[in-house]
Amino acid sequence: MLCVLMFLLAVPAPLEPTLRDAELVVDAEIISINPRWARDGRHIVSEVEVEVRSSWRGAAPQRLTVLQRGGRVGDVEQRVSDEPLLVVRAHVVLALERCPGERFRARGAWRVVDGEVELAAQRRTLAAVRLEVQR
Amino acid sequence: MRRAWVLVLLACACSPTIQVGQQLTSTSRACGDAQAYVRTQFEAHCLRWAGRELTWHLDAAGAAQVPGNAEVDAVARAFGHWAAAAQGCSDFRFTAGAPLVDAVVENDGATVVLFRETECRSVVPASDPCWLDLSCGDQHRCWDHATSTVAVTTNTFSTTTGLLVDADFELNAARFFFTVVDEPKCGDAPSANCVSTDLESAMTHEIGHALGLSHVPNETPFSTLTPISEPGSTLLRFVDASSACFVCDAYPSGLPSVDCE
Repeated sequence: MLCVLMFLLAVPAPLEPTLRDAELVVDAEIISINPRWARDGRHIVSEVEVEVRSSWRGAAPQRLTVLQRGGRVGDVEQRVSDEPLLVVRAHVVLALERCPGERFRARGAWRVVDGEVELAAQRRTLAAVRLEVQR
Repeated sequence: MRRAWVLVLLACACSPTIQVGQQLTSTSRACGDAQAYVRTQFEAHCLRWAGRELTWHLDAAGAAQVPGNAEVDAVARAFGHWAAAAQGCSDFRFTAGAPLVDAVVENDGATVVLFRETECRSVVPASDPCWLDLSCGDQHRCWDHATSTVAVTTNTFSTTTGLLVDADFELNAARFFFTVVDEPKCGDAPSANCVSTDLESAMTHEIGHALGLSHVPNETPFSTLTPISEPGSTLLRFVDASSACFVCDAYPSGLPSVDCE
C-alpha cells in the first residue's frame, strides 16, 4: 500500500485539457493590453500584444496579437468566465488558437513565477512543463 | 489497485471543463465547517450586486436539443436552487422575465440566457469583420468561445465599487448536447432521453459566477463551483453548503451587499 501511495505521489497530475489540446503553446511575455468598446457598443474587446520567447507547440510569430472578450474601459470592466486574465509584463505560458485576421485567442494562461508554473495545483519547473507539452 | 487509480486520473483528465484559465483575483474564506468559497475580486473589491432581484430572460429561440419548452423549466430550477440557498438569511430573489427575441450579450442590465447551436468557425466567413471585434457570436448567433467550454458568464461591473450591473449566460449547444432528464447516463450517442450535459447543473454553476463567485480548486469535491464538468452526471444540480453561505454572507437580508473584508 505504501508503494502504491509513493507511486501516486511521484506521478505528476496530467496536463490540463486546455494545455494538452491546444493548437499552439508558447512561453511568452505580455507587452500591452488595449481594451476598447466593440463597434456595436455592446461589449468590450481587448487587443493584447504578446512577445513570444519560445514556441513549444506549433509555429507562432515572435510578436502576436491576442484578442479577448472583456477588459476595462473607464470605470467599466467586463469579464467573460472562460477568458484567462492577462496582465502587462507577466511571464506566462499561453495556450492559443488561431483566428481569422491573423489574430489569436488565448484559451488558457499560466503565470510563470521564479521559473515555475502552477498546473493542477502542482508547481512544476518551466522546463518540465515544456517537456510534457512537447511529449 | 494501481489500475483503478490510473483510471480515475484519466477520467479527470478527459472531462471537459466549464471554465478554463484564471479569472481576476479572488479571495476565499471558510463558512463554518463547510469548505471555503471563492469570491471574484477586482482590486480591493469583491464583485456583488447592489440590488436584490435578478430578472432573467431566456432567448426566445430556446434550445433546439431540448424537447418542448423543458429548457425553461430546467433553467428555472437552477435559479430556484440559489433562491432556496438564500431563504432565511438573504433577501436575494430571482425572477423569470419574458423570453426575448434575438437576445444578445451586452451591457444593458438585462440578464439573458442564450443557447449557441453552431460554432462561429463553421458559419462565419474568415473575411467577416466581426472577427476583429469578437462580435461574431451576437451577429451570427453562434458559439465564439473555446470549443471545450460548456458555458460562459459575461459579467459587467463598476471598477470603482465592484458592483455588478449586468450578467449574461451563453451555453455551448454546438459542441455539447444539453439534456434535462434525470437518467440514464448517455452512451456514445447523446439524445434527449438520457443525461449528456445536464443543463440544470451547468446553469447552477454559471449563476454562481453571476452572483460573484469564482471556481474552487479542482480537487474540491461536490462543489457547485468546481471547474470540472462530468458528462452524464446530474450530481451538481445543487448549491453546496459553502456556496450557500456565500449568498448569506454577501447578500444579508435587509442590509447592504457585503464587499471584501
